[in-house]
Amino acid sequence: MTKMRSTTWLDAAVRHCRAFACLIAVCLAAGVARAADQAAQAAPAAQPSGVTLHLANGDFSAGELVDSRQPDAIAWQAKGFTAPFRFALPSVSAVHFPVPEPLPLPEGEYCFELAGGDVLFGSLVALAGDEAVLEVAGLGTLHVERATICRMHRWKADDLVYSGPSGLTGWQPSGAFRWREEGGHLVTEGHGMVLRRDLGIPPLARLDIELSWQNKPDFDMAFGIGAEPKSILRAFHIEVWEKKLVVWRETEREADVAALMQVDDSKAGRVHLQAFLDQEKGRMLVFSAGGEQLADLQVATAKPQPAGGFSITNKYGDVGLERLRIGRWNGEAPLSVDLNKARIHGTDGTITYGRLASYDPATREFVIEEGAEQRRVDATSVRDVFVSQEAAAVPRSLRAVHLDGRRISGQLIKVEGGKVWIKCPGIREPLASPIQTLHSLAVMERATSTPKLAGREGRLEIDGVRLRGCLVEGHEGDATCLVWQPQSSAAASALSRGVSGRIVYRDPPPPPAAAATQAQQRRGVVGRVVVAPAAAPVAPPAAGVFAQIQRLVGGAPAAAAPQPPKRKEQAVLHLRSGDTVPCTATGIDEKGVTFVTAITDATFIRHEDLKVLELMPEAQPAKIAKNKKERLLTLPRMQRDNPPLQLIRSVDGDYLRGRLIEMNDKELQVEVRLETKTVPRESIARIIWLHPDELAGDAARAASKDSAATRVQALQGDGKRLTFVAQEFAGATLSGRSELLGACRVDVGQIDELLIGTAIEKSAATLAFHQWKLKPAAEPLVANDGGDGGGEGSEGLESALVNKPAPDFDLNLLDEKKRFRLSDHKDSVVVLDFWASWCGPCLQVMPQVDRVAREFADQGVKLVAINLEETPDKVKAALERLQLDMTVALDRDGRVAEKYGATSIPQTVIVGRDGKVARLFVGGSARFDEQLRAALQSVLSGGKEKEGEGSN
Amino acid sequence: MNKAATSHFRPTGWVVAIAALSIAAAACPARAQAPSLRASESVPRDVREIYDRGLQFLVSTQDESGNWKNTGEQGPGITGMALMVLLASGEDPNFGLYSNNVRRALRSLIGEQNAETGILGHSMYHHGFAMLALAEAYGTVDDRALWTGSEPKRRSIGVALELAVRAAITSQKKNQFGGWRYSPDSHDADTSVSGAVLVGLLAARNAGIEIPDEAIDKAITYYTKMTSDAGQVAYAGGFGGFDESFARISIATLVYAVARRKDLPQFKATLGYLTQRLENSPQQAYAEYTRYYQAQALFQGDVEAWEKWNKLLVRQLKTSQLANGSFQSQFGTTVGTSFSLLALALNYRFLPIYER
Repeated sequence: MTKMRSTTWLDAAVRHCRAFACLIAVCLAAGVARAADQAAQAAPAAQPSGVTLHLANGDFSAGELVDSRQPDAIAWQAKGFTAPFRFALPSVSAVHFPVPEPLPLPEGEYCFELAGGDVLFGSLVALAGDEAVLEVAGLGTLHVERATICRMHRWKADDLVYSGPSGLTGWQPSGAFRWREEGGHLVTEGHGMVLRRDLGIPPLARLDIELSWQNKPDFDMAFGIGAEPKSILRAFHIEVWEKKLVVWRETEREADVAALMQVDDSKAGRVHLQAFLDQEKGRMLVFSAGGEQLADLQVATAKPQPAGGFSITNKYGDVGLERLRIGRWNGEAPLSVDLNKARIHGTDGTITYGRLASYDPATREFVIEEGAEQRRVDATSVRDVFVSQEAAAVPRSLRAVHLDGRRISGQLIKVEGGKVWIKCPGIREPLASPIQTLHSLAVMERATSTPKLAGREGRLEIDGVRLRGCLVEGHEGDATCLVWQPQSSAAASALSRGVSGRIVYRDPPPPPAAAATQAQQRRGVVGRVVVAPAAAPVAPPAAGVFAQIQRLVGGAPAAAAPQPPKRKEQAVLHLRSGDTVPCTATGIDEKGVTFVTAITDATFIRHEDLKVLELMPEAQPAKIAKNKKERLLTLPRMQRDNPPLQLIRSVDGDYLRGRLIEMNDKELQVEVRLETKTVPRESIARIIWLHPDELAGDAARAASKDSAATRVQALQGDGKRLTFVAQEFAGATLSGRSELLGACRVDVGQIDELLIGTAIEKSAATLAFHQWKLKPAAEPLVANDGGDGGGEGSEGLESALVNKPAPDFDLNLLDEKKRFRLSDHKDSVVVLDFWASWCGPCLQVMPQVDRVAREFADQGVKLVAINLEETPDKVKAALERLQLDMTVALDRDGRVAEKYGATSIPQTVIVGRDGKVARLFVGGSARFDEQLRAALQSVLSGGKEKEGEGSN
Repeated sequence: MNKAATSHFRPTGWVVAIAALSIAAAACPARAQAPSLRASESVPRDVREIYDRGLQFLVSTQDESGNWKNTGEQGPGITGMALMVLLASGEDPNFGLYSNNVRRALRSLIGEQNAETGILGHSMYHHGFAMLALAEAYGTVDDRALWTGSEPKRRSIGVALELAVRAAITSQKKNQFGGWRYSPDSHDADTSVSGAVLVGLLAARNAGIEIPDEAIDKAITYYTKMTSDAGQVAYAGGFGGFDESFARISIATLVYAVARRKDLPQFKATLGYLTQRLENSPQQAYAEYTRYYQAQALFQGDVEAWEKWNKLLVRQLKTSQLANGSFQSQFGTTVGTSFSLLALALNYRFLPIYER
């Protein structure tokens, strides 16, 4: 049966979905901490870093809780701001705290499941009448209304299998660059992006899942997948189908689906689910966070294959995986008993119905009444005590989830002294939770309306913070003049100095499908590659930069250009900041460009601030082949200390790389490889600056900018940029000063985006012209190696000669009239070391080779140093200097070296007893001895094994 | 330069830290080009500014005894190089602005000469550079004003130069390769020390001191043996291997040129190697030493190439000159400043050795 997703089928399936309310089942949602040896450590006084506030509108902010006595607001010191915000409680979704490893264990014998999904761990001191007395670690003695306690049970510490996520570590992403971490959460907007991980989901598992999205939910989660890719097809899935969240499973023979809830696919939202998975029986129960059963899906297979893996896929929306907790489940369906009766489950599986009258701490016995009958049950034989049915729902504004699994909810009293104070219905004492014991604070109220902002709404984005709001009046002082008023915060705050980010007022349109140059984008025309030299006076075809230089400088470019533009165009200066200045360029000297423009009184700009001067913005567009452009932008090693500083493009599309010396209204002088060339100005379309700091990366330049000033860049819808130092925001106008343009004023009502700080350079770096930057030519390997040669780390198995018969040879030895024939030494492992006295690395390696060969001499290893084409005198002198006494064969005509492919030396070859090349190393290093020793050991042991095989 | 040198190549005791000093030779003695030829208008402003600032640094750091003792490597070779900077400035050495500095430096230099052996300083590097400075001063500086009458080791520039030349030739005779090494008694040779001494000898010959042709020929033969077909020059004893040392390649080019042996294929090879790689920067460690020789080698070998290269030199020196006018080097600021300014001094051409 193929998977069917037609609406009709879905609707039919939804009918199967049984929706019972059961809060009890959810009580353990927070789970019990993993069995760890150590208990919770004394928590540090300071708030941990990595705390994130999530707002109901989808915004978030890194920062920390600050003291507040307001029960209806959260005071929040956001990262990057000078003063705290005060968010109305209903506008807050949650505060998430970082999850340490290992998780602290809860303390106490019992887990108390309370009304409203709360959970406490502790011991039972007394139970009588309408009140129970609990002793809870960290909270002290609590008096709890009996009606508030749903269930008590003796918990097992190993319930929790996984709790996370806390960052991407351990996850296997597809397209890793498209997933990112936000406060430990895993977030992506990339379509089709998958994350998977073996989380050790047990065959019987309890799952607690929290997800969020900013724009559109369209995700798929699979539970219980194995190593092989196909297993995902058989797994249980929770997925968005159109506007419904569903749970489904499909096997070879059967498929079923159940709807969980509607999801709005047009705005930010979040979902929190509990699920119980039985992989053996093929069953998944899904509950809402509030305890309402949403689905009970059963699709069994003949051969269950429980597996521990989990995956999440973002299909065509965006998704953030915020929480995933996996615990062991006893397999007992949470709704399988008569909910409406109080009862005790024994450790032996018995169920005793009856009203729990009291607990006798002296005898450690529960007293149960059934009618007039009274029974006593030994506490140690009890697993679960179901005390009361759910009390009437009492509204709660906040739930605090603790790292040890404790959950309490109620009304916020205050945040003070590093503790969050909550009044929990049914508990007499206010509860004070130290912030460092918290896992999260979830707000349970929702705002009904969004307060109106005073100014134009924008989205402020800085590292770890995204807050919608508006700029309000501000002046430069101790803090910046950028004062942000988030939606639903009662207070505004100025941005701190040195912060980088942006305010987005209007999102840019999606980028065009194909990458095109700036010129092409403007005109939509594709130009020629290079001038066809039909009329050109120079015969040879253009080959490389030099040919282009000739044609540009020496040839007659005007003749070669088909239609050189004659009229005088207005030039455009593109600054490195991204700003553009229409102007008439009057000249260039060693300091910079002089110009006249209508938009400012400024007449000069320095080379280091320039990116492009378009002298003829309307010149023929030129398409440059990719490899040609790459060559133009590659800095040869020999020019490393004299890099070209400009690229000059002719109207024909030719490029000349050099160093601008001067330009007047007639010609331009450029130094090309230390020679000065003159180019007629009328043949120049554009000058592109290549900055040496671009070789080091854009970050270097951004870092060099003054962080004390509040630099901003206003980005208009037409792509125009204006960069200046902001001094004041008043009304709707941001005003300041630009070094180049003088006083600047920007109406924020008219811009698409406001970039702040180093974000300006990062954004400019993405502009089309800014892709023209030099990159250094690759270093030769020998240089990377520190001159040690290529042998480092090699096992000597790379050569094509390895495992081939070693070429035989017969050479004179240095030692008088003796000769050496390789084939005479088949009983030995022979090391051949090719060398020459003029080869420094050879001389470095030879003593090492000699020493190692001697170590193995008693195992039948022979060393022959084969000298390349030198006289015996020279060889002797070299050996004397090195104080070596070794067998040297003289390869006077280099034939043997040729047979062994020794085009570079030193080359060291190990010939095995089988007469084959066992290892071949080219180059040496200071640690070549270690490589050679390892290789000989391996060759010798391999030889023995073979001998053994042969004798059998 | 002698990057490849390892301890077993060095004679014991004489090994000195100053692994890099030397200068060139090629002009008539006693007559530098007349100041009128100093086309100050044609010397770029950048050159004049760099040179003047560097010169002020050297003048201000010379001590009363005439030495530069406070800024790194010191000895007669260093004094000699700084002296050449003074002589190359174009100021009249006898009556001009720096005439006292010139005389002080000369008195110090001659005072450090071993009266018996004629050796200047503790290594043949020093000897070579000091000998070159003496040769450049000989005939230019008036001996009559040199000594005031009270100094212990009074010797004229000419006598000191002759003594130094004899010491160098004696040392060469002991050397199997026909070159020189750190110690005057060494049997080994290297192309770096040999360059310092040989250029000094050639300058002395140009100054009119008699040098046996055999000495020059032997040294040139040594260099030809150390030069590969490709133009690279080996370091020591035919044993260091060839690598790309622009300093050694420049030294070989320079000695071939000043010895008037431009006919040698080795000269064409070394010069070609340099002119094809004008934009290559010298090794960071010996940048100043390399530039000093590269300037002269290109100037003597191919003046058009030198003109191009000189632009790069000016740019590099402009950025590396410190606020006090000095240049740093691993041998100290006196050495760094002197090498850098002498590389630049080709723009003035006042030193006889710079004549083509």
